[in-house]
Amino acid sequence: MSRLRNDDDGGVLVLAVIFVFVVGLLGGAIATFASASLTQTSSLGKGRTQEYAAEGAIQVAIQRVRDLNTVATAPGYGGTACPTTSVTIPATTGALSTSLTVVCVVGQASVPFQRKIVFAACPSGTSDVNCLSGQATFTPVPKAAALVVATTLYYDLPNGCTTVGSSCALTPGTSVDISGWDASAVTG
Amino acid sequence: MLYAMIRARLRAEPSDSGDTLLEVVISSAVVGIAAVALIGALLTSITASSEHRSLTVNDTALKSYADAAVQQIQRQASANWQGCAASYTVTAPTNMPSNYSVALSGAQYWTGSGNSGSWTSSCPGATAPQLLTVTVTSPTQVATSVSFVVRKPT
Repeated sequence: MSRLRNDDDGGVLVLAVIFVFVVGLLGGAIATFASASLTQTSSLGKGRTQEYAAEGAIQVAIQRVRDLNTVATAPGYGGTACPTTSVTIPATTGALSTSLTVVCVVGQASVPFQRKIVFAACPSGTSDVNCLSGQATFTPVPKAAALVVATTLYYDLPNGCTTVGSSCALTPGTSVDISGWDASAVTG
Repeated sequence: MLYAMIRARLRAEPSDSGDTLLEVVISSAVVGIAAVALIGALLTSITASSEHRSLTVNDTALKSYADAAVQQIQRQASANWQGCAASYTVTAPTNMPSNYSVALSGAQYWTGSGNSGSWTSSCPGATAPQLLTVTVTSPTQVATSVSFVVRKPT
Protein backbone atom coordinates (compact mmCIF):
# COMPACT_ATOMS: atom_id res chain seq x y z
CA MET A 1 0.00 0.00 0.00
CA SER A 2 2.83 2.37 0.80
CA ARG A 3 4.14 1.90 -2.73
CA LEU A 4 0.79 2.91 -4.05
CA ARG A 5 0.79 6.09 -2.02
CA ASN A 6 4.38 7.10 -2.76
CA ASP A 7 4.81 6.45 -6.48
CA ASP A 8 2.70 7.34 -9.45
CA ASP A 9 0.70 4.15 -9.62
CA GLY A 10 -2.79 5.00 -10.75
CA GLY A 11 -1.78 8.12 -12.59
CA VAL A 12 -2.23 6.50 -15.91
CA LEU A 13 -5.66 5.28 -14.91
CA VAL A 14 -6.67 8.76 -13.74
CA LEU A 15 -5.47 10.27 -16.99
CA ALA A 16 -7.30 7.58 -18.91
CA VAL A 17 -10.51 8.31 -17.04
CA ILE A 18 -10.11 12.05 -17.62
CA PHE A 19 -9.41 11.44 -21.29
CA VAL A 20 -12.42 9.20 -21.65
CA PHE A 21 -14.60 11.68 -19.79
CA VAL A 22 -13.54 14.70 -21.87
CA VAL A 23 -13.66 12.92 -25.21
CA GLY A 24 -16.94 11.34 -24.19
CA LEU A 25 -18.41 14.77 -23.55
CA LEU A 26 -17.21 15.96 -26.94
CA GLY A 27 -18.57 12.86 -28.65
CA GLY A 28 -21.88 13.23 -26.85
CA ALA A 29 -22.14 16.85 -27.89
CA ILE A 30 -21.43 16.01 -31.53
CA ALA A 31 -23.91 13.14 -31.48
CA THR A 32 -26.55 15.37 -29.91
CA PHE A 33 -25.93 18.04 -32.53
CA ALA A 34 -26.21 15.54 -35.39
CA SER A 35 -29.35 14.02 -33.91
CA ALA A 36 -30.98 17.43 -33.46
CA SER A 37 -30.10 18.39 -37.04
CA LEU A 38 -31.64 15.23 -38.41
CA THR A 39 -34.76 15.67 -36.29
CA GLN A 40 -35.19 19.25 -37.44
CA THR A 41 -34.66 18.29 -41.07
CA SER A 42 -37.29 15.59 -40.74
CA SER A 43 -39.64 18.07 -39.12
CA LEU A 44 -39.06 20.60 -41.88
CA GLY A 45 -39.75 17.89 -44.45
CA LYS A 46 -43.07 17.09 -42.79
CA GLY A 47 -43.99 20.75 -42.70
CA ARG A 48 -43.12 21.14 -46.38
CA THR A 49 -45.21 18.12 -47.32
CA GLN A 50 -48.11 19.39 -45.25
CA GLU A 51 -47.90 22.82 -46.83
CA TYR A 52 -47.88 21.49 -50.39
CA ALA A 53 -50.71 19.10 -49.55
CA ALA A 54 -52.82 21.88 -48.03
CA GLU A 55 -52.13 24.19 -50.96
CA GLY A 56 -52.99 21.40 -53.39
CA ALA A 57 -56.22 20.65 -51.57
CA ILE A 58 -57.21 24.30 -51.80
CA GLN A 59 -56.44 24.32 -55.53
CA VAL A 60 -58.77 21.34 -55.91
CA ALA A 61 -61.50 23.10 -53.95
CA ILE A 62 -61.09 26.32 -55.94
CA GLN A 63 -61.49 24.42 -59.19
CA ARG A 64 -64.39 22.43 -57.79
CA VAL A 65 -66.34 25.59 -57.02
CA ARG A 66 -65.65 26.72 -60.60
CA ASP A 67 -66.72 23.41 -62.06
CA LEU A 68 -69.94 23.37 -60.08
CA ASN A 69 -70.98 26.13 -62.47
CA THR A 70 -73.23 27.64 -59.92
CA VAL A 71 -73.20 30.82 -57.95
CA ALA A 72 -72.43 29.85 -54.39
CA THR A 73 -74.44 31.45 -51.63
CA ALA A 74 -73.60 35.11 -51.49
CA PRO A 75 -75.36 38.35 -50.60
CA GLY A 76 -77.80 39.09 -53.38
CA TYR A 77 -77.36 35.76 -55.07
CA GLY A 78 -79.02 33.08 -53.00
CA GLY A 79 -78.27 29.64 -54.30
CA THR A 80 -76.03 26.84 -53.26
CA ALA A 81 -73.90 26.78 -50.13
CA CYS A 82 -70.17 26.80 -50.64
CA PRO A 83 -69.16 23.13 -50.50
CA THR A 84 -66.68 21.43 -48.20
CA THR A 85 -64.18 19.25 -50.04
CA SER A 86 -62.14 16.32 -48.73
CA VAL A 87 -58.82 15.78 -50.46
CA THR A 88 -56.10 13.22 -49.82
CA ILE A 89 -52.64 13.80 -51.21
CA PRO A 90 -51.01 10.38 -51.63
CA ALA A 91 -47.76 9.40 -49.93
CA THR A 92 -44.44 10.26 -51.52
CA THR A 93 -40.91 9.05 -50.91
CA GLY A 94 -40.13 9.97 -47.34
CA ALA A 95 -43.58 11.31 -46.53
CA LEU A 96 -46.94 9.88 -45.57
CA SER A 97 -50.22 10.62 -47.28
CA THR A 98 -52.03 13.70 -46.06
CA SER A 99 -55.80 13.97 -45.74
CA LEU A 100 -57.34 17.39 -45.54
CA THR A 101 -60.71 19.09 -45.36
CA VAL A 102 -61.17 22.31 -47.28
CA VAL A 103 -63.94 24.58 -46.05
CA CYS A 104 -65.06 27.61 -48.00
CA VAL A 105 -67.08 30.59 -46.89
CA VAL A 106 -68.38 33.40 -49.07
CA GLY A 107 -67.53 36.92 -47.98
CA GLN A 108 -68.75 40.33 -49.06
CA ALA A 109 -67.57 41.33 -52.51
CA SER A 110 -67.62 45.01 -53.32
CA VAL A 111 -68.52 44.67 -57.00
CA PRO A 112 -71.60 42.98 -58.52
CA PHE A 113 -70.98 39.67 -60.25
CA GLN A 114 -67.89 39.12 -58.23
CA ARG A 115 -67.70 36.80 -55.27
CA LYS A 116 -65.13 36.84 -52.54
CA ILE A 117 -64.66 33.27 -51.36
CA VAL A 118 -62.26 32.25 -48.62
CA PHE A 119 -60.90 28.70 -48.49
CA ALA A 120 -59.23 27.08 -45.51
CA ALA A 121 -57.50 23.70 -45.46
CA CYS A 122 -57.53 21.83 -42.17
CA PRO A 123 -56.46 18.34 -41.09
CA SER A 124 -59.03 15.72 -41.95
CA GLY A 125 -61.61 15.30 -39.21
CA THR A 126 -61.75 18.98 -38.31
CA SER A 127 -65.34 20.23 -38.22
CA ASP A 128 -66.24 23.02 -40.62
CA VAL A 129 -66.76 25.63 -37.90
CA ASN A 130 -63.45 24.74 -36.29
CA CYS A 131 -61.73 25.31 -39.61
CA LEU A 132 -63.46 28.36 -41.06
CA SER A 133 -66.54 29.98 -39.57
CA GLY A 134 -68.90 32.72 -40.72
CA GLN A 135 -70.92 30.89 -43.37
CA ALA A 136 -74.23 32.37 -42.23
CA THR A 137 -73.05 35.95 -41.96
CA PHE A 138 -70.69 36.06 -44.94
CA THR A 139 -67.79 36.93 -42.66
CA PRO A 140 -65.10 34.27 -43.06
CA VAL A 141 -63.04 33.79 -39.91
CA PRO A 142 -60.20 31.24 -40.13
CA LYS A 143 -59.75 29.16 -36.99
CA ALA A 144 -56.62 27.84 -35.35
CA ALA A 145 -56.86 24.50 -37.16
CA ALA A 146 -56.55 26.15 -40.58
CA LEU A 147 -53.17 25.29 -42.12
CA VAL A 148 -53.50 27.38 -45.26
CA VAL A 149 -56.05 30.11 -45.94
CA ALA A 150 -56.70 31.45 -49.44
CA THR A 151 -58.79 34.48 -50.28
CA THR A 152 -60.15 34.38 -53.81
CA LEU A 153 -62.25 36.55 -56.06
CA TYR A 154 -64.54 34.77 -58.50
CA TYR A 155 -65.68 36.67 -61.56
CA ASP A 156 -69.08 35.66 -62.89
CA LEU A 157 -69.01 37.78 -66.03
CA PRO A 158 -66.49 37.73 -68.87
CA ASN A 159 -63.66 40.19 -68.66
CA GLY A 160 -64.79 43.73 -69.45
CA CYS A 161 -68.46 43.16 -68.61
CA THR A 162 -70.14 44.85 -65.69
CA THR A 163 -73.67 43.58 -66.20
CA VAL A 164 -75.42 40.70 -67.89
CA GLY A 165 -76.08 41.33 -71.57
CA SER A 166 -76.15 39.73 -74.96
CA SER A 167 -72.38 39.38 -75.07
CA CYS A 168 -71.99 39.20 -71.32
CA ALA A 169 -73.53 35.93 -70.25
CA LEU A 170 -73.56 35.02 -66.56
CA THR A 171 -70.81 32.46 -66.27
CA PRO A 172 -70.07 31.61 -62.65
CA GLY A 173 -66.36 31.44 -61.98
CA THR A 174 -65.32 32.35 -65.50
CA SER A 175 -62.07 33.47 -63.92
CA VAL A 176 -60.56 33.49 -60.46
CA ASP A 177 -58.04 35.74 -58.81
CA ILE A 178 -56.22 34.80 -55.65
CA SER A 179 -55.80 37.88 -53.53
CA GLY A 180 -54.52 36.33 -50.32
CA TRP A 181 -52.55 33.23 -49.41
CA ASP A 182 -51.56 32.51 -45.82
CA ALA A 183 -49.61 29.39 -44.93
CA SER A 184 -48.16 30.71 -41.70
CA ALA A 185 -49.95 28.08 -39.61
CA VAL A 186 -47.99 25.24 -41.17
CA THR A 187 -45.48 24.00 -38.65
CA GLY A 188 -42.39 21.95 -39.20
CA MET B 1 -1.10 17.58 -8.23
CA LEU B 2 0.64 16.81 -11.50
CA TYR B 3 3.74 18.51 -10.25
CA ALA B 4 3.67 16.45 -7.05
CA MET B 5 3.26 13.30 -9.08
CA ILE B 6 6.23 14.15 -11.28
CA ARG B 7 8.33 15.01 -8.25
CA ALA B 8 7.35 11.77 -6.57
CA ARG B 9 8.23 9.86 -9.72
CA LEU B 10 11.65 11.51 -9.83
CA ARG B 11 12.21 10.59 -6.22
CA ALA B 12 10.92 7.08 -6.55
CA GLU B 13 12.91 4.16 -7.60
CA PRO B 14 12.22 3.13 -11.15
CA SER B 15 9.52 0.58 -10.84
CA ASP B 16 8.62 -2.09 -13.29
CA SER B 17 6.50 -4.03 -10.86
CA GLY B 18 3.41 -5.85 -12.08
CA ASP B 19 1.10 -3.36 -10.44
CA THR B 20 2.10 -0.54 -12.75
CA LEU B 21 2.17 -2.80 -15.73
CA LEU B 22 -1.25 -4.10 -14.82
CA GLU B 23 -2.58 -0.56 -14.51
CA VAL B 24 -1.09 0.40 -17.82
CA VAL B 25 -2.70 -2.64 -19.39
CA ILE B 26 -6.06 -1.84 -17.82
CA SER B 27 -5.77 1.80 -18.78
CA SER B 28 -4.84 0.90 -22.32
CA ALA B 29 -7.80 -1.41 -22.46
CA VAL B 30 -10.13 1.29 -21.12
CA VAL B 31 -8.77 3.88 -23.52
CA GLY B 32 -8.88 1.40 -26.38
CA ILE B 33 -12.46 0.38 -25.77
CA ALA B 34 -13.51 3.98 -25.25
CA ALA B 35 -11.63 5.07 -28.36
CA VAL B 36 -13.35 2.43 -30.47
CA ALA B 37 -16.73 3.48 -29.11
CA LEU B 38 -16.01 7.16 -29.59
CA ILE B 39 -14.61 6.72 -33.06
CA GLY B 40 -17.73 4.72 -33.90
CA ALA B 41 -19.89 7.53 -32.52
CA LEU B 42 -17.93 10.11 -34.47
CA LEU B 43 -18.23 8.11 -37.66
CA THR B 44 -21.96 7.83 -37.06
CA SER B 45 -22.13 11.57 -36.53
CA ILE B 46 -20.20 12.20 -39.71
CA THR B 47 -22.50 9.88 -41.65
CA ALA B 48 -25.54 11.51 -40.07
CA SER B 49 -24.17 14.92 -40.92
CA SER B 50 -23.70 13.89 -44.54
CA GLU B 51 -27.24 12.50 -44.60
CA HIS B 52 -28.49 15.70 -43.05
CA ARG B 53 -26.78 17.77 -45.70
CA SER B 54 -28.24 15.62 -48.46
CA LEU B 55 -31.73 15.93 -47.00
CA THR B 56 -31.37 19.66 -46.58
CA VAL B 57 -30.18 20.16 -50.15
CA ASN B 58 -32.96 17.82 -51.31
CA ASP B 59 -35.52 19.94 -49.48
CA THR B 60 -34.24 23.14 -51.00
CA ALA B 61 -34.11 21.63 -54.47
CA LEU B 62 -37.61 20.18 -54.07
CA LYS B 63 -39.13 23.50 -53.10
CA SER B 64 -37.29 25.36 -55.83
CA TYR B 65 -38.31 22.93 -58.53
CA ALA B 66 -41.91 22.49 -57.34
CA ASP B 67 -42.44 26.24 -57.10
CA ALA B 68 -40.90 26.73 -60.54
CA ALA B 69 -43.22 24.07 -61.93
CA VAL B 70 -46.32 25.66 -60.40
CA GLN B 71 -45.21 29.04 -61.69
CA GLN B 72 -44.68 27.79 -65.24
CA ILE B 73 -47.75 25.57 -65.42
CA GLN B 74 -50.33 27.68 -63.65
CA ARG B 75 -49.31 31.15 -62.56
CA GLN B 76 -47.36 32.90 -65.27
CA ALA B 77 -49.15 35.01 -67.87
CA SER B 78 -48.78 32.48 -70.67
CA ALA B 79 -49.07 29.38 -68.52
CA ASN B 80 -48.05 25.94 -69.80
CA TRP B 81 -51.24 24.36 -68.47
CA GLN B 82 -52.81 21.72 -70.67
CA GLY B 83 -56.03 19.96 -69.83
CA CYS B 84 -55.40 16.23 -69.27
CA ALA B 85 -51.68 16.71 -69.87
CA ALA B 86 -49.73 13.49 -69.40
CA SER B 87 -46.66 15.34 -68.19
CA TYR B 88 -44.92 18.67 -68.40
CA THR B 89 -41.49 19.88 -69.38
CA VAL B 90 -40.37 22.27 -66.70
CA THR B 91 -37.37 24.54 -66.96
CA ALA B 92 -35.41 23.92 -63.80
CA PRO B 93 -34.37 26.90 -61.69
CA THR B 94 -30.83 28.02 -62.30
CA ASN B 95 -29.81 27.48 -58.69
CA MET B 96 -30.42 23.74 -58.65
CA PRO B 97 -27.53 21.85 -57.01
CA SER B 98 -25.22 19.98 -59.33
CA ASN B 99 -25.10 16.19 -59.26
CA TYR B 100 -28.65 16.05 -57.92
CA SER B 101 -31.16 14.49 -60.28
CA VAL B 102 -34.72 15.74 -60.54
CA ALA B 103 -37.66 13.85 -61.98
CA LEU B 104 -41.22 15.07 -62.51
CA SER B 105 -43.80 12.32 -62.55
CA GLY B 106 -46.68 11.92 -64.95
CA ALA B 107 -49.87 13.61 -63.92
CA GLN B 108 -52.77 12.14 -62.01
CA TYR B 109 -56.18 13.73 -62.26
CA TRP B 110 -58.72 14.69 -59.62
CA THR B 111 -61.91 12.76 -60.13
CA GLY B 112 -64.53 14.22 -57.85
CA SER B 113 -67.25 12.22 -56.21
CA GLY B 114 -69.61 14.18 -53.99
CA ASN B 115 -67.64 16.10 -51.42
CA SER B 116 -64.49 14.08 -51.99
CA GLY B 117 -62.72 12.31 -54.80
CA SER B 118 -59.51 10.57 -55.71
CA TRP B 119 -56.50 10.85 -57.97
CA THR B 120 -56.73 8.63 -61.02
CA SER B 121 -54.68 8.02 -64.12
CA SER B 122 -57.68 8.58 -66.39
CA CYS B 123 -58.60 12.19 -66.94
CA PRO B 124 -62.28 12.97 -66.29
CA GLY B 125 -62.22 16.37 -68.01
CA ALA B 126 -59.99 19.14 -69.26
CA THR B 127 -60.48 21.22 -66.13
CA ALA B 128 -59.55 18.45 -63.70
CA PRO B 129 -56.81 19.53 -61.27
CA GLN B 130 -53.59 17.61 -61.79
CA LEU B 131 -51.35 16.02 -59.19
CA LEU B 132 -47.65 16.05 -59.98
CA THR B 133 -44.80 14.62 -57.96
CA VAL B 134 -41.24 15.82 -58.09
CA THR B 135 -38.44 13.60 -56.81
CA VAL B 136 -34.93 14.78 -56.06
CA THR B 137 -32.15 12.23 -55.66
CA SER B 138 -28.83 13.16 -54.12
CA PRO B 139 -25.44 11.80 -55.26
CA THR B 140 -25.63 9.47 -52.26
CA GLN B 141 -28.98 8.17 -53.54
CA VAL B 142 -31.08 9.88 -50.88
CA ALA B 143 -34.43 10.43 -52.58
CA THR B 144 -37.10 12.86 -51.42
CA SER B 145 -40.40 13.64 -53.08
CA VAL B 146 -43.20 16.11 -52.77
CA SER B 147 -46.56 16.19 -54.52
CA PHE B 148 -48.25 19.38 -55.59
CA VAL B 149 -51.43 20.27 -57.42
CA VAL B 150 -51.93 22.53 -60.39
CA ARG B 151 -55.29 23.62 -61.72
CA LYS B 152 -56.55 25.34 -64.78
CA PRO B 153 -55.35 28.93 -64.61
CA THR B 154 -57.67 31.86 -64.95
